Amino acid sequence: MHISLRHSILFIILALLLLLLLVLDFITGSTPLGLSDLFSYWFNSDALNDETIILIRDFRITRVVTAVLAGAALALSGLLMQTIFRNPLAGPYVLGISSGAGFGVALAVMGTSALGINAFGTGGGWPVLISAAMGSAAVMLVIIAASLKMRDNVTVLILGMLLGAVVSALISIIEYAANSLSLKAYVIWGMGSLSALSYQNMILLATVVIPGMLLSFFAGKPLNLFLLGEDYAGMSGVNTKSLRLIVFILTCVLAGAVTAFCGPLGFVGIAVPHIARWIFRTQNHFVLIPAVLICGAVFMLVADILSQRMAATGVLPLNAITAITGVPVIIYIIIKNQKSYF
Amino acid sequence: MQSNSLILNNLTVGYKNKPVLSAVSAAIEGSQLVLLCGKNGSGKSTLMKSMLGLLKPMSGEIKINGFAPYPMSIAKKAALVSYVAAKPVNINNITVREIAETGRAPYTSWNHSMSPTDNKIVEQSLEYLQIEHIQHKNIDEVSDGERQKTMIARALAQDTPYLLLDEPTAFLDYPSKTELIRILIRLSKEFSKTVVLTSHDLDLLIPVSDRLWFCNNGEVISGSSADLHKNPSFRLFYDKTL
Repeated sequence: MHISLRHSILFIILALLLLLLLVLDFITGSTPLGLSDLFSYWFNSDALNDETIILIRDFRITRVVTAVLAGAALALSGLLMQTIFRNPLAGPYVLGISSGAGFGVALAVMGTSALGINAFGTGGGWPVLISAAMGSAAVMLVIIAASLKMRDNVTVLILGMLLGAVVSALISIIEYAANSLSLKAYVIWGMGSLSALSYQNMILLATVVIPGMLLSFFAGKPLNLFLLGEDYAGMSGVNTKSLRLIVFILTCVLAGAVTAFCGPLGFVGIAVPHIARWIFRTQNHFVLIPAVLICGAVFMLVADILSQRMAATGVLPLNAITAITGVPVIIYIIIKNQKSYF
Repeated sequence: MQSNSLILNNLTVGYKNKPVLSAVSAAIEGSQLVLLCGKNGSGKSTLMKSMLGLLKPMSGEIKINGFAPYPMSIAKKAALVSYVAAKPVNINNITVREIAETGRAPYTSWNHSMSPTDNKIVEQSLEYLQIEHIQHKNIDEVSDGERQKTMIARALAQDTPYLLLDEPTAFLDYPSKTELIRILIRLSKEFSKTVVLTSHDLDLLIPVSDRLWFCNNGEVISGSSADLHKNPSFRLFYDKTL
């Protein structure tokens, strides 16, 4: 399965689009910044005052890089889930994986305050990250167990939504017991934001998701075989059990880490793989994996630019934007895919 | 090349302590076409799954060229047995050729780059099944018969001494069924493959099968079609099916 000329051209176009959006997102924000400021930051930082340097590094660059990482990671986890479940409607948000991560965050942020322990806060690094990944792993385990028993895609989807509802109920119980300070922190986290991260947390997010992305390339061949069905894959030399385990760990880490730091960003994971398949017209994961990484980054940068620019003052909640842009894609898939997968 | 031998020795297969077929003993030597028949729920699929190594035998043994399919290393199995499932693969944005190429997966490296030999084998498989003219079409755009031929081309490209097919004729119209069966006969003769398939198309398959395995009331009766026609329970099943 070689990369064709058409695919190479599409990759170049997407890379240019990504570059353009990176710049556009960088100059977007409450304080106007120009490209010249970015050049000065890198090549001639003496020309800038300390405040501008902090603004560029801790706010803009952190936000733009987070957008790229979050979009790419969520889109990749969506692609992996759609292939493993052989379900075009699978994604970290609709299957309740993000809710599970949210539960982990709720426990870390509010559960500690309910017990009278000093709260970690939503910007709280490793504890929140691990807690979120464990929350998403718990939900993912139930979904995997169910998908082995139930062959019907829609049933698994409904189960995911029901699980999400149960998790939300548990979260509201924790909210009831939490103090007002940690409750507010949690509610703001729930709106989704790329700006809540410190520079250090952005580095932490990158350290967690980038190895996951690189690792996924090595699963390209078994994932391609998995498209034909589990039995075909198993009879063609794929260790289906270890593939499931690898995908399980990857999706929990990717979706869990992003959710921990940026809040539940819905519909990115489910919509972007379809956009990538539609652009590239392929099921080959060696093309699709880089394609969803770039498309996911593009999608998230656009969503961030919209959330920053659409409100007259302040910033619109990011997960409102991702839902408004992502849901139409999903409705289109449901209408189009009456008979075939993907 | 080693001659094929498929041996079932006092085999009991089933799920969770519930035997579906018991005390099964049968043997196939050399390349033959074997029809696994019986009513729905008689244990055809269970036996098929056990031979594919997807299900652990409860007792007794299966020997495929001297090796038990369970437990067997995944790589070794992929070089010994290829498989065609009942349910047609129906996904978009993947071509007939790309599917045939996945048959070479056991022989390619991690990035599935196809060597000239791999490409040649895929091309020969497509030609053999006379689907080379549709190789660049998407699998969801071709007919059911062509889709099933693609899966057989894929199995042929996998280049294994055994080919196991689960109801390959189920979703096909009459002309496609006869064509597919002719292909399977040629595969067993020309490529010295042992072909084992389950099917309900008894009228088409019994005359051309070298061996019949009839699953009935928890046991397997093995023999030629002449042998089985002497068996009253087989006659009853045969008359009811037709």
